[in-house]
Amino acid sequence: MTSKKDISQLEDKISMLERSLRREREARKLSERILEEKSKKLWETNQELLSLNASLEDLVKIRTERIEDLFENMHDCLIVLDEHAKITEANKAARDLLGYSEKEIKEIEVSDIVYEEDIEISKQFFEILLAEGYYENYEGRIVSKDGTIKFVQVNSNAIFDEAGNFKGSRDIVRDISERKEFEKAFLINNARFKTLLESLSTGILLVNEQGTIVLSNQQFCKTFGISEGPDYLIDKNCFEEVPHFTQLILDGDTFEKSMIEVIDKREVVIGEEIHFKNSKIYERDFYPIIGDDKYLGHLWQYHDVTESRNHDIKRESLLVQLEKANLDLKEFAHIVSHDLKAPLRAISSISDWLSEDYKEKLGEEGIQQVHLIKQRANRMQNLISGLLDYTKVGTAEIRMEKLDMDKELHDLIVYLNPPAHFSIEIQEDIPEIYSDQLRIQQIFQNLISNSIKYNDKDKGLIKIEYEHSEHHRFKVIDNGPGIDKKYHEKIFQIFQTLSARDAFESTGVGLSIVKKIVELLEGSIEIESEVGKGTTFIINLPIT
Amino acid sequence: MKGIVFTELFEMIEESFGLETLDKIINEADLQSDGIYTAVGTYDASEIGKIVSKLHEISNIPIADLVETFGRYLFKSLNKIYPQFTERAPDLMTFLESINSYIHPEVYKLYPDAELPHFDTVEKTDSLIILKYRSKRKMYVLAKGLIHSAADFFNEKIEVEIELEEDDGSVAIIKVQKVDE
Repeated sequence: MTSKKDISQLEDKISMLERSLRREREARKLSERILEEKSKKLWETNQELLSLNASLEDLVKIRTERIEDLFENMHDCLIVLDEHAKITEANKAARDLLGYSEKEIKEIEVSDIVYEEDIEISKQFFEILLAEGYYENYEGRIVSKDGTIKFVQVNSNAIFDEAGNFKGSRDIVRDISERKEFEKAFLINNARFKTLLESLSTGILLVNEQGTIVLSNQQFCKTFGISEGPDYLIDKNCFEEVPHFTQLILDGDTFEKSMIEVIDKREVVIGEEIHFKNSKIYERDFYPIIGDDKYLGHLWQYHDVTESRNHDIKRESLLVQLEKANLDLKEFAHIVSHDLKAPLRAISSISDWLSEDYKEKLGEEGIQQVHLIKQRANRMQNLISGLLDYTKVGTAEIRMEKLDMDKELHDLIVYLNPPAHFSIEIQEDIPEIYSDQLRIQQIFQNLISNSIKYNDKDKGLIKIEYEHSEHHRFKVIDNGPGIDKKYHEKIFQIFQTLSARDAFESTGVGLSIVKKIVELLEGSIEIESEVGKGTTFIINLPIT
Repeated sequence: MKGIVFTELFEMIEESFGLETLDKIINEADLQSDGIYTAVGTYDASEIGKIVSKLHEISNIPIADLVETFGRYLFKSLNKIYPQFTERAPDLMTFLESINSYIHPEVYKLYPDAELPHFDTVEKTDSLIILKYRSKRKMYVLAKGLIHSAADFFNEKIEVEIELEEDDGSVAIIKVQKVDE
C-alpha cells in the first residue's frame, strides 16, 4: 500500500519532471526556430553572394575589356617587357613609334631599339629599376625599324612575382623628338639672341611687372659701371639697384623722380637726355610692354649720344661762324663792286677822252690800244656785276607758289624780245608746277639769252620741252654751235666762258648762277651737247 | 548573455544540487524566460544574477564561490564542445592571450550579436600575464574560475590576483602568475 504522503510526493515529482520536460521541449522548439531563422538568413546571404559574384564577373569582364582597349588605344606608348627585356606586349602607339607590326614586335628586345650611344645610360636605368622597382624620366634615343632615330622619355615600373622575383617591367614611352628639336632650336635662338643683345651699342634693361630685372646686356652694365656683368642683375629688384645708378647721374634726384613718373604712366617716352657725372650724355627711351591687354613690364634703352651731342655743338658754332663769314662776304662783294666800278667807269670815260682829244697824236695804232683799254674796263665792270648777281642768288627767301609754266615762258619770251631771225617753240600743255616764280624766270632767262647770244646760225631755233617723270623735266634745246664734251663741267663754274670774250660781252657768270638756283630749288641741271650739233640743257625740278 | 552560459549553469546545478533545487530556483527566481534556454539563443544577463542569488539563498554558499565554481565548470564544458582553442595553444599564457585575439573573434563569426568581455593583454612573459578585463556584465569572478580551470587543463599551477579599476567591477586587472610546484 502506498501511503497518501508517498502519493503526494510522487505527484510532486511527476509535476516537477513534467515542468522540466516542458522546459526542455520549449527550449528545443526555441532553438529550432533560431536555427531555422539562421539557415534562412544563410540561404539569403548565399543568394546575394551568388548574384553579387555574377555581377562581379560581368564587371571584371567589362573592366578587363576596357583596360585592354585603353592599353591598345592609348595615346602614350605602352610596352610590357619580360625579365630578359624582351617585348611581350606593345600597344598600337608603341608599334607605330617603333614601326613594327603586332607580330614582329614580339621578336624585339630592348637592346634592338636602343640607340648605340645610349646603351650605357639605359643600363644604368635598368639597375635603378631592379633596385627601386621603378624609374622615371629616362630620356634617350631609339631606332625604329626604318632606321629613324627618335628621342623618347620612358617611365618604367618593375613587375615582381609573389616570391619577389623580377619578372619584367611595364614601360610608358613618350615620343619627345619634337620637344628635343624645339629645345635645340630654343638654345640656338637663345644664343643668337644673346649675341645680338651683346652686340648692341644700346644699353638694355628689361623689367617685369613686379619690378624684377629679367634681361640686361653688357652695354647697360658698362654705362652704369656694373663690373659683374648682366647676369648679376638678373632676378634683382630694379628699385633696389636704383641707388647704384643714381650716384652716377649729375642730377640723381630728378633722374629717380622722372624714372618713377615714367613707370607709373606706362607710356612710351623717347629721347630723355640723361647727363652723367663723367660728362657722358645718354638718351633714355622707355617702352611699356603690353601683352593680352595687360602690363607685363617695361624696357629701358640707353643710347650714348655724347659724341653726336659734341658734334651738334661744334656744328652749331660752325654754322654761326659760317653765317658771319657769308655776311662778311656779301658786304665785301657789295663794297668791292661799288668801289671797283667807280674807277672802272673813270678808266672807260678817260679812254673816250683820250681817243677824242689825242686822236692825232695817238695815231691809228694808239687809238686801237686805247679802245682795247676801254673794252677791258667794260668787261671788268660786267664781271663785277656778275659776281654781285651770283652772291645775291641765295639771299632772297624762297617763295613757293603755283606757277602756270605755259604763261610764264611766253611772258619771258616777250620780255627777252629775241632778234627777228630767231624762233622759239614752246611745247603745248606744260602743266602747272609749284615753285619760286622769280627763280624760275632767272633760270629760263639765263638759258634762253645764252642760247641767243652764242647762236651762230642764220636762223636761230630754240625749243622748250617738258616731260613728266619723277621730276618736272624741262629741256631747252638750241641749234647753236654746241659745246665740246671736255667743257661740259667747266661751263657751270663761275667765270668760265668758252667763246672769244668780247665778241659777246659775256661775263661767264650766267650758267653758274643757273646751276646755283636749280640747286637752291633742290633740282639738278645737265647738259647734252656736241660741237656742231646744238646744245640741250635739261633741268629737273622736284615735284612737291 | 549567450544561452550556453545558462544551459551549463542549469546542468551544474542539476548535477550538484539535484533537479528539485533547479526546479525550485526556476519557479521562484521570477525569470522572464521561464527558465527556457537554448545554447544558440541570447538572454538577459541579469537572469544569471537572479539564478545565482536564488542558489545562494537555498545553499548558503557565498555567491563569489558559486560563480567561481561555475567558471571552472563552464571551462570544462566549453573545452569539450570547442577543443580547437586549447589545442592550438602550447601553454596557459598563450591561451589566455588568444582569448581576445582569436577565440572571441571566432565567437563573433557564429554569433554576431554576442556581447563578449574584453581581455586586453597588459603584460605577458612566459610565467606571467596581466589582463585588463572590461565588461558591462561585471563578472570577473566568473573569469577567475575559467582561468583556474584552464590552468588545470594545461597542468600549470597559478595564482590569480584581481584588482578592481572601476569600483562597480566593470574594469578589473587580472594578474595570472605561474608558481612552481
